[in-house]
Amino acid sequence: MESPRHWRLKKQRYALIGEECPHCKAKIFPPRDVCPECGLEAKTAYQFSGKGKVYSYTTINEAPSGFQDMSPYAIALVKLEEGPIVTAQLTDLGGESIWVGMPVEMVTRKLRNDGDERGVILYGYKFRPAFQA
Amino acid sequence: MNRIDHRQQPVILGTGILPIGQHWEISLRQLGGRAVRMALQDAGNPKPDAIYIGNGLGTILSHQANLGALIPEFAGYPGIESCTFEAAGASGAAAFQAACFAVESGYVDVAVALGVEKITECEDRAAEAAMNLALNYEFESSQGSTVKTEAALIAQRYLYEWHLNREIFQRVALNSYQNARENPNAFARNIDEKTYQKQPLISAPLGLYDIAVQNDGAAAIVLTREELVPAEERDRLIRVSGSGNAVASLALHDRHDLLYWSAVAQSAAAALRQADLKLSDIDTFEIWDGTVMDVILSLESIGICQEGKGWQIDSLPLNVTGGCLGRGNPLGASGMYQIAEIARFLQTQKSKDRIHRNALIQAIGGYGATAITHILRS
Ligand SMILES: [Zn+2]
Repeated sequence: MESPRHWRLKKQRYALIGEECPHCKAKIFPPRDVCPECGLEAKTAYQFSGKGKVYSYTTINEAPSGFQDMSPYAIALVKLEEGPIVTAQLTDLGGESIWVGMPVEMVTRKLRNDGDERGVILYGYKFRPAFQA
Repeated sequence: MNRIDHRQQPVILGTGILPIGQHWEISLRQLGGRAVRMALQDAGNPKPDAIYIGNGLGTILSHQANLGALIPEFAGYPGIESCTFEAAGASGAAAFQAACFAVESGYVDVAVALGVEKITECEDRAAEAAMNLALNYEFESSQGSTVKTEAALIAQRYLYEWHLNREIFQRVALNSYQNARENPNAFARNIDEKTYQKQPLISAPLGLYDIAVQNDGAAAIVLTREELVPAEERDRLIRVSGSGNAVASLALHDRHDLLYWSAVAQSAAAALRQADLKLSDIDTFEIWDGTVMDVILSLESIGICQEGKGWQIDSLPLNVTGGCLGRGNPLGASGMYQIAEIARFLQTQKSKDRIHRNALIQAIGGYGATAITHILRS
C-alpha cells in the first residue's frame, strides 16, 4: 500500500536525513525545496544527530487505525539538538515518567501496520530516553 | 484587500440552520439541499445565481466528491453555478468568503453560501480518521498523532510555560456549554461544573469536554450586495464589512512559535482593516473552539487577551450561541454556523435596541493552520 510514498520517505524516516541550507546554514527537517528561514533553494542533505529534548508530550488512549496494537502510547514534540522540532512517538520508557526538557535519542521502530491484505509494516523514527553526556 | 464601496458591500438576506446532531435518516445531499432551501425561504425566495459549498469530509465519509453538481439539484436549482471549497474546519468560512466575493464584485447578484458535513455515516473511528486528514500526513499522522493529540501537545506546553494547571480550561469550556443552552440548534451536551470536573482525560491535559464533539450539520446564508436591496429595507440589514484569510505551516512542528498563531492574528487584522474597525469596536467575538486550547491561543494571538492570559475570559462577550464546543462540531459546516448564528444574534439585538453591533467571527482549519475571519455589522 502506497509503496512509492514509503520508498520516497525512507531516508527521512529511517535515518533522520534532512537538509542544511547552503545559503543561511539553517538545519531543515523534514527536507523541502525552499528554506523556511531565508526563502532560498535548499537541497544539501544533512544527517541529524538524532539527539534532542522533549518540547511537549501527551498520551493517546484511543489510537487511530494502524496504531491500535501499540495503544496507549506517548506522542511528543521533540526539539532536535540542531533546532527543528519533530512529532514522534516516545518508546522504551520502561515506566519512566516523561517531562518537558527530558533528553531523548532517535531509534528506528515499527511505526504502523497498514493492515492491508499484504500486511505492509512501516518503520521509522521514534525517540527513547537518553542519558545526558 | 481594500475596503469596498458600501453600495457593493455584501449583505445577508437570509439564513437557514439545521439542528446539529445525528441525522441518520438523511444523506449529505439532503442535509445541504434543505439548508439552502431554508435560507432562501428566510430571504424571501430570491432566485440564486450560485451556491458555494463548504465541506471537509464528504469525499471520505460519504464517498462523494463534486458536491457542486449534486447539491443544487437537491435544493431545487439544478444547473446553477456551484463548487466546493475545502479548508478543513474553515471550509464553511471559505465558501462564505467566495460568496461575498461573487456578489460584491458584481459577478453574480444573489449567492448562497452553504456549509455541510455528514459525520455519522460511518463508525466513529472512520470519522476520527477523516478528521486527522487535516494534519500533515507524512510527518504527523504517520507517526500516530491525531487532531486531539496535537491540541494536547500545545496545551501541555502552554501550561508548562505559564506555570498553570488544567483548571484554567474550565471557564472557557463552560462558557460555551452554558451559552449553548438557549440555542435550539445546538447538540445538547448539558455540561455543568460538576459533570465537567468528572470528565475523563482523553489526551492529557485535555479531557472529554475540552474537545468539541463531531456531528452532522448544515447551515446556509443568502447574500446579495447592498445596492440591490430597496432603500427602505436597508436599515435592517446585516453587512459583511471585512474578511481575511491567512495560513501558517500545516504541521505544528514547522512553526517558529508554537504558542502564537500567526494565521489567526493575520486574518483577524486583515478583516478589521478592511472593515475600518479596531478590536475595541467589536461587541461580540465568535472564536473557534474545536478544543478549549484553540480559544486561548486565538484570544492571545488576535490581541484580545495578553499572552498567558487567554483563559481569563470573564467579561468577554464570547461564543454567545455556544461555539463549536457547545453546539457540536460539523467540521466543514461549523464556519457557516458561526456566521449564520451570529447574524441572527445581531438581528435580535438590533430589534431589542441593544449594544451589540459589530461581530468578529473566526474559523480555523487544521491546528491553527488556516484562519478565516469575517466582520459582521448590523
Ligand atoms: Zn536558508
